[in-house]
Amino acid sequence: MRRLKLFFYCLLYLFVATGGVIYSQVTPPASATGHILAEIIPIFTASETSQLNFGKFSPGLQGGEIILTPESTLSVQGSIYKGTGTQNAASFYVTGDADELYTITLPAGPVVLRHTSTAKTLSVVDFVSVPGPGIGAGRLKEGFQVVRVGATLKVGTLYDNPIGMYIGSYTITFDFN
Amino acid sequence: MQRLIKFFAIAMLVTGLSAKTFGQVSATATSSATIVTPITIANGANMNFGNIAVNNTLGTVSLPAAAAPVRTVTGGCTLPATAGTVSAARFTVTGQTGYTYSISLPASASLTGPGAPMTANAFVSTPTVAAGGLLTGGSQTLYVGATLNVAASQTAGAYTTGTAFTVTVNYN
Repeated sequence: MRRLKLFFYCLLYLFVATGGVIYSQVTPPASATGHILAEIIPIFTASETSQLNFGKFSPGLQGGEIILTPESTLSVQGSIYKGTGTQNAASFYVTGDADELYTITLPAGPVVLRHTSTAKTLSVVDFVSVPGPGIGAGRLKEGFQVVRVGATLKVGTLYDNPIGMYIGSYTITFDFN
Repeated sequence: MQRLIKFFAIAMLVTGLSAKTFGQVSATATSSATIVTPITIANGANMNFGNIAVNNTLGTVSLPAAAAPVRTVTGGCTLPATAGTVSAARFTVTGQTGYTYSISLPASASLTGPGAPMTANAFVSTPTVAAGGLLTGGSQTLYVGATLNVAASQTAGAYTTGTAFTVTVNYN
């Protein structure tokens, strides 16, 4: 009996001695991980890098036509006298997937240019482009292509087209299918 | 045998005395401790920037830390009409009710894909790192967003982190 009692005391002592250790627990930080995802999609863009500009000219007695090729070469017909100053074809920078084919659609009807201070107008017809406007004629080799656009400006007499600046806008469509 | 018992009896007596002596020294010491629920964090959703279009100018896409994040872009990045899956990373933090905790976010992560690797940085969270979190009711949803840096004419395709980013929480 005495032996049992001693044994009991011994256990109790051990418990008390180790009790403090149990309570000094430290809560560790916790971590979790996650992934990040993103999808880059090809973008088809077309931006005008150069405006269609027929330059300066004088209509003369009868007027006529100014033909501006996509290569920015200008020629005149009729009584038009070409003045100084620059002229240039329009150019567009088209981007997208490499080797993607696309279709260029040029304005079908005449585009009207309005005199900045009167109601007089000029009309622009016969739009041409390089590459041409055929279906799938454009090709984004290495993901981009420069499209040049020329047109013909119809000019009337000096009465019809007084001195001044004529401005208008037109729409060219790049269609990716 | 009788000698052996005596030996134990003496041994116990000595032990008991030493314990008693020790106990007198530290008798005035009081000890108290509270066992708290360990803090845990689990990932519920990955971060997804969705579909991004980029032109020939570099740009960024910022994804706020929100349940329904609305992306913002700079530079050559644009957001196409088809947004894809857009989500901030979602974590659930659990622990002792009413406790506050600190949040540690990574500095950056690298996303790899068909083109050059992209870097995500400027990580943000809701609740913010500055404010810290509060375990109302023993848990809180933690959203994490970031800013993705997209190179000019970044090659199209799916990009993802090879190594997952880590978010760490700890009781204050």
